[in-house]
Order: sequence, then C-alpha cells, then structure tokens
Amino acid sequence: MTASSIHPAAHLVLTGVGQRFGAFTALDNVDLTVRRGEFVTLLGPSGSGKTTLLRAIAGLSPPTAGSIQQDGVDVTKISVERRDVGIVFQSYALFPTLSVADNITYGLHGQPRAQRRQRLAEMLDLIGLAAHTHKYPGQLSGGQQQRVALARALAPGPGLLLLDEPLSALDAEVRRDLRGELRRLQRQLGITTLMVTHDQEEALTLSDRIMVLNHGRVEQVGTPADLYERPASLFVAGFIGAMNRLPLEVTSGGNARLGTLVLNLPVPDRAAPGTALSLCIRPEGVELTEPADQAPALSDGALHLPGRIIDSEYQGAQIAQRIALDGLPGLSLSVTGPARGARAPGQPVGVILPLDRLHLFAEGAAA
Amino acid sequence: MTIAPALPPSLAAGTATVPRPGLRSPRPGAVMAILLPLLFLVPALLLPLASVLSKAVQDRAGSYVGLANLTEYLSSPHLAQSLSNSLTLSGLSAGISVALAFLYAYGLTRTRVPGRGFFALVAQLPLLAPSLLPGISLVYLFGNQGWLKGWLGGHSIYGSIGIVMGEVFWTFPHAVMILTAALSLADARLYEAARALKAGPWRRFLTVTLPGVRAGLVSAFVAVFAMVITDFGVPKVIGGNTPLLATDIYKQVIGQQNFQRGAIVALLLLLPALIAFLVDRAMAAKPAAMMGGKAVALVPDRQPWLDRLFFLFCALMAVCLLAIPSTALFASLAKLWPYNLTPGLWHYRFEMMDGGGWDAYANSVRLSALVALFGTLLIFPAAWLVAKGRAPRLLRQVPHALALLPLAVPGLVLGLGYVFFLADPGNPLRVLNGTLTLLVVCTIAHYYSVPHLSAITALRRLSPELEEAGRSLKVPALLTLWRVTLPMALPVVLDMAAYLFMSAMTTVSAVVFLYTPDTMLASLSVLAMDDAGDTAPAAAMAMLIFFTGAALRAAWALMTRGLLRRARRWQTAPAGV
Repeated sequence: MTASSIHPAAHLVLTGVGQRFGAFTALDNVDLTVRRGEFVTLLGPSGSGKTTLLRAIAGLSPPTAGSIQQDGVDVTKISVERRDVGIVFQSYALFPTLSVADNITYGLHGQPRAQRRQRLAEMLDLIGLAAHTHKYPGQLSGGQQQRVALARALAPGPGLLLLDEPLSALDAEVRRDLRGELRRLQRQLGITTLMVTHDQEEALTLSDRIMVLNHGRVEQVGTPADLYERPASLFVAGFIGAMNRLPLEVTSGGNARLGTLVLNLPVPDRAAPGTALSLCIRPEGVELTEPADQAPALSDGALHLPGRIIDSEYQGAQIAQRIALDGLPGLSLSVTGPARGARAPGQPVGVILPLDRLHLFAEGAAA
Repeated sequence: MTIAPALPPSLAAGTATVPRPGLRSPRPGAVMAILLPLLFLVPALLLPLASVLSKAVQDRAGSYVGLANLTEYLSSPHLAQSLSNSLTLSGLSAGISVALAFLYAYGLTRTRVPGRGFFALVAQLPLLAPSLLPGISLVYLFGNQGWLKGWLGGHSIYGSIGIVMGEVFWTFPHAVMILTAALSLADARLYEAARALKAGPWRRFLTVTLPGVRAGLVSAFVAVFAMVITDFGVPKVIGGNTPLLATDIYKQVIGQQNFQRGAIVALLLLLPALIAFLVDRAMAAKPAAMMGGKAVALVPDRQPWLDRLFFLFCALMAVCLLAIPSTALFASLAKLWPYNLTPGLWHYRFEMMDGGGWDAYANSVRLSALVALFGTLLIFPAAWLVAKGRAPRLLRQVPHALALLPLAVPGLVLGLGYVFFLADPGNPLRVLNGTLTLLVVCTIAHYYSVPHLSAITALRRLSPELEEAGRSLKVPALLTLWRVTLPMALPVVLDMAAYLFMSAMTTVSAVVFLYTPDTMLASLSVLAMDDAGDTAPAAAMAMLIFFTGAALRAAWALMTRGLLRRARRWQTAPAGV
C-alpha cells in the first residue's frame, strides 16, 4: 500500500524520520504529510534540526530512522541524484566559473540543444533576468544571484522544490521584495515547496503550513494562523510573535495561583500541586481601562488586575507600554494598542486579560 | 522588479520536460574510485620503502639476520661521527638560514623597503638549480684558487664551513616562503590596539609579531633541518672528508655495494625526517588564532631608519644570492678559471666528458615534462577523490596518509627502496629497470606531497554546496569536476605542474641510484663531472638547469596569465550593473 493511496493529494510523506550523529540526536521521530502544491516551512532556531530534515528530504544525507515517501515511492535511501527535487542552497552555490545561462542549463545536461535553449528562455523570462544571460555570478547582486539559483533549481522541472534559508543572505529590503516574488512564483507554478528558515516573519507570510522544530522534535504543525492564535506549546508561543508570560503554580485545591491570587482556571488534569504552569497572552490581547480600587478578580470572562504604567514607546501606528502588576513584584506585561488616550508612565491603570485570549501551558520557565 | 507573469505551459508542476534519470547510481563506483590512487601509491611508494626495511634485516646472502646489521653499525665509531656531524651541521645551517630568512621576510612584508618585488624574486633563485650548484660556486669563490679564499682566515672551505654556507643558500628560499606567509598574515587591529595601550615598537614586536609567527618559525626550522640532514648534493661537492649520514648511504651503496649497510643508514636518516614531519604536522594542526574572519590587513608604515637598515640587509643578501649562480656562470664561460678569463662556450660542449652531456640535458627536460604532465594528471584527481569523494571519511584518509608520506622520506631512502624493490627477481615491475619511465614514477612519488597538499587546500576551500548542487541537478560528478571545480582550482593546478617540473629538473637524491647511461640526467651529470674533476663543465651543466628553470618560470608566468584570463573571465570581468 502506498502513501498516495492513503492521501490522494499527498506528495511527500515523512514517517518517524530520525537522524543521529553518534550520540547526538539531531532529529527525533518527525512525521509530516505535504500535499501537492503546498508551501510548507520548516521553522526553528539554529540547531533545531530543520536543515538536517531538509537534507534528509533532499537525499543529501539519508535519515537513520523512519521513511520518506515521495509520490508514493519510498525514497528514504535514494540519494539526491535520483530524487525528483530541485534545491536552492543557502549560499546559492552558483557555479562561479559558469555564466548565468550555463548555470541555469546545468541540470539540462544531455538534452538536445534546442530544448535547452527554449527552457533557458522560459526560465530567464520567469525570473526576469534575460539581460544578464552572459554575466557570471560574481557580477550579479545578491537578489539576482538568488533568482538564478531558483531558476537553476526549477529548470529540470522537479516535482519538489527545497529552499534552504533562501533569503537569509539578503538585505532587509531585497528580502521583502523577493519574499513576495517567491510566493507568487510558487503559486504560479503550483510546485510543492519546502522551505527552511529561522525567520518567523518569513514563515508566516510565505507558508500554507509551518512545522515548528525545536531540539530535533516537532513542536507544532499548522497554518500560520493556527500557530499564532493557538500555539500548542510554550516554545511555539514564545518563538512566533511576542508573548507575555505569567508564571502560575498549581494549588492543593487544583486551582492555579498567580502570586497571591488564586484563580479558578482550567488546570490540566493530573497536575500535581506545586507544578509550575505558564499563562500567556499576546500584547495586543491585553486591554487597559480606568484604574479601579478593587482587588484582582475573575469576572465577566476576564481577569481584572490593577497595575501601573512603567514606560511607553511610541511606534507610530500604535503604542507599546509596559505595565507593572500590583502585588506581583518582578512581573510586567507588554501591551500594544492605539496610541490615542495612552497614559503617562507612573499612572495607575486597570488591566483586563480576557479569558478567551489566554493560553495556559503545562510548562514552567523553559522557554 | 516583478517577475514575468506569463506562465510557460511546460512549467506547470509535475509536467517536467526532463526525462527522469534512470538507475544511474554513483555509489559503488564513487566509493571504489578512492582506491585508484592506491594503484600508484602502493607500488611506487609503500612497497619500495618496505623493501628498505626488509633489506636492513638481511645479510649479504639475503637470509634473515634480525638486528645484527643494526647493532654492528651502531657500534662502529664511524656512525657516531656521522650522526653527530649530521645533527650539528643541520642544526647550525637551519638556525642561520631561518634567522637570515626571518629578517629578509620581515623586510619584504613589514617594512617599506624599496624594490620588495625584486628582492622576493631573487630569494627564489636557489630553487632553480640542484644543491650541487652552491657547492661548485663556493669552491670557485673560496677554494684553493678562489678569489675570496683570504676571507676564511686560513680555514678550508672543504668541510663544515662550506657545507653550512651551501646549505644556507640552498634552503633559503624555502625558509623565506614559509616566513613570508606567516608574516603577511598580520591583523592591523592588534597593532593598533597595542599602540593604543602605549606599547613601544619593541614591545609590539615581542607581544604581537613574534607570537603570531612562532608556528612559522618552528615550521621553517624543522623543514630546513630535514632538508639539510637528507641532502647530499652540497656535502658531496664541498664536504671534503666530513662524514655525514647522507653521504654515507651514497658511499655504502655506490662505492662499496654494501646494500645492507646502506639500508641501515637509510633507516637512521628516516628518523630525523620523520620527527621533523610529525612536529610540523602538530604545528599545522593548531588553528591560527591570529587571523579571524574580520582581520584587517596590515599596511606597514614608513619608518625611515628601519626601512634603510632593512634595505641594506636585503641588498646584502641579494648580492650573496646572486653571487652563487653568477660565479658558476662566469666560471663556466671562462676558458680556464681563474687564470685565463677569455669568454667562450667551451665548457658547454661536454664532448670529452663523462656524464652524458647534451643527451643528459635532453633526458632531463623529457623527464621534467613527463613528471609535470602525468604527476598533475595523477595528483589532482587523487586529491579530488580525497577532498570531495563520496567514499567514507576513514577510507579517504588512506590515500591521504600515503600522499603525505614522501614528506618524511628522504630521496636517498626512496631511491634505495626502488633498487631493492626492483632487484627482486619475482617482481613483474622489473621490466622498468633502466627506463626513463622508472625515473618518472620515482620522481612523481618523491615530490607527491607538496602538490597534493596544495590541491587539497584549494579543494577544501571550495564550498561543498557546489558539489551538492551538481548532484541535485543530476549531473555526473565528473562533469561538475570538469566545468566547475577544475576551473576554480586552475591556478593551483598550474602551480602544481610548475613545481613538479622544477623538482624533476633539479632532483638528484632519489634518482642517483636508478639511472643508467641511457637515462642519464643533467643534474646527475653535474655530479658525475664534478666527481671526475671537470668542475667547469659541471658548472656549465648546472647553469643550463638554472636557465631552463628561469625560462620555464618566465614562460609559465606568461602562459598562465593568458590561460587564466580566458578560464577566469568569471573573476576578472568588470562588475555588471
């Protein structure tokens, strides 16, 4: 039974993929199914195993455990020469001794000349570099080199495109431009694409789905909105976007304690008293109101806490403020909101944490 | 900056225009390819060396006698004398050569001495001739009829003085090369920091300069020491009756046909060279902490007094460096030096002389061309297999280790190994005895390490992603080697060929046991004529080698410039918009 018979649209299926280098586990039990035409990003900090995973999928270094199926065929042990993949390397790896044209047609080796020419013209058209055919990579800008690398990978018509940090070597502005082009191109060609990056913004804007990796393990797989709005772990919550974290402790009564305040929150089952939890909320999820002389309370589906503005940072469209919470020394919240009506530092303020914006993680201060 | 929106039909996903490559698995072949270099290195290097070992434990009849030869030789008073002479003279020569070379290299890299390019060129002159040349010239200058005999204050040039002078001249370029490389790796920021902390010039030298070149100094000393202790060209000509290990081998084997004794001395000679090699490897393994990725190149300031002082020193050295070949040149052109200085080409006719004359010269040029051609064709691909091959790392270390072995093997020992190896009646390679092919093989093996190391260094500097990109595009590895790797490494490949040519032109030590009258070489003919007392023709032949080397250098520079310009448009072309 092949993978494609299970998922009709599955292009790539990873099952329990693992990679060990001696005693070091670089990848542990990774499962992933990529649909045809999908853009999936492998996101993680350096050392998370994302490049290792890409190299395994590319056939550059076969995994030590698990299997990789592409188009329903087990390709786990098949090396890159016989895989149906195109790769854009991190530093592009353009051949410096060959012209742009020769670089792009490099993978068309063995085809008739006319066919190569036609394909070259198509690719140059696609990346908009027809005027630079006879130049050498050293004479191109970073962004142009990146497009040539993309054209070279696409020219043989691979079914799967692998991008290893394709934009990391570029200036911020060029990077934004190329990000848009990359996405448009991928949609146009409908080519299944896997990209490795450590840049969460890049991942959020480009991907259909994102796989977050940490220490060689999968933290979460989901759409950008899934990851941002419903992070599955404290790591994902902290890695993608800004997040406030308040430490909680499970009480003997099965409630959660925040400083001196005991909250009736849905504590995870079987959490022993004394267990550390994390209560998280995005800066834009926090609401500020008039200060009220009331003790911290849980009412109207929100947690009400008294606080005081520490400082504020004007950011144009919005204002970012830091709030100290009364009775909780050492803790502060970042809050972003409209710049209008912002209070001055030192002013008391009422803090509202709506329950539906709160995330509770059964983890302590790990991340 | 928008991408053309029109989508060519062939670009739709899944409708690839390329026929999928079939089952062209590179694996077994790519892995086994690593064994190819061994087809050369084992019979041309390892087996001959092994036969030196086995010969050392045999008696004259060929039966096993264990360590009897060794104990017998070790107890002879002659050995103690040779050993102590070899060690002291090598140490002395290395010390003087490295000290002079350090000052010279310092002048070239850290001062604003005028004419640095010229001085750098002059320092290379000794490379153009066999080590016999300084011996011959020193005899002309300081010998019994020498013009400068009085400078020695009644001491004879034949012996320690002559040996040390000759060896310093002959090893000088090697020491200068190593130290120039070490001194030119300077981080200007360290000197600025030291200045900002109020360190004076002397303190800056002691705390910044010296620690930075310590490894280079050790390397240079060790390299020169190993060169001197295994050289027999200089002592053969000018050593008089000073017993040395290197000349002992020659005497035992050529003079007395005592192969067993020769093998024992060869083993002893292997030791210091091996130690030198290991020390150098250990030094090379240490990372160079001085030059980080952000280092700023040092541009020396103008220091009028220091610059003048170094100019004087460099000029003096240049005069000495030029004096040696010039003396040989004048002597070879004079009718009867120093009595009849009528110039002419008598000594270049070689008609009445032993030593093969112009035939030997032609042999040398043929040998050098063949060594350069086949050596490069062999060494570069082998280095590629080691540096970029698909075989497991451990397997790739085998040819690499063998390739480094010649660094630790004196030419005399290797040559002797060939004699023993090919004397075995059961050896099918015996057919090579007496052929030029044998000399080609032996010379390639003798000089294998340096080009191998340059190729490895150059190849390792290339990103592995280039090969991976080639593989991901389903292109055979050999095509990527041909179209990408080789053009990028071309300057190094050309240097490898030039090095092999020059080495083959000047080699004496390994081939001295292997030549026949038909395969006489120019360098060996210098030795033979000098031995026979025909010093002027010997000088003439040495000068022929010298000028061949110089001409080759010049032609090479022109040729490579043209070749590189064509092959490296990618580097030299003006930057586009």
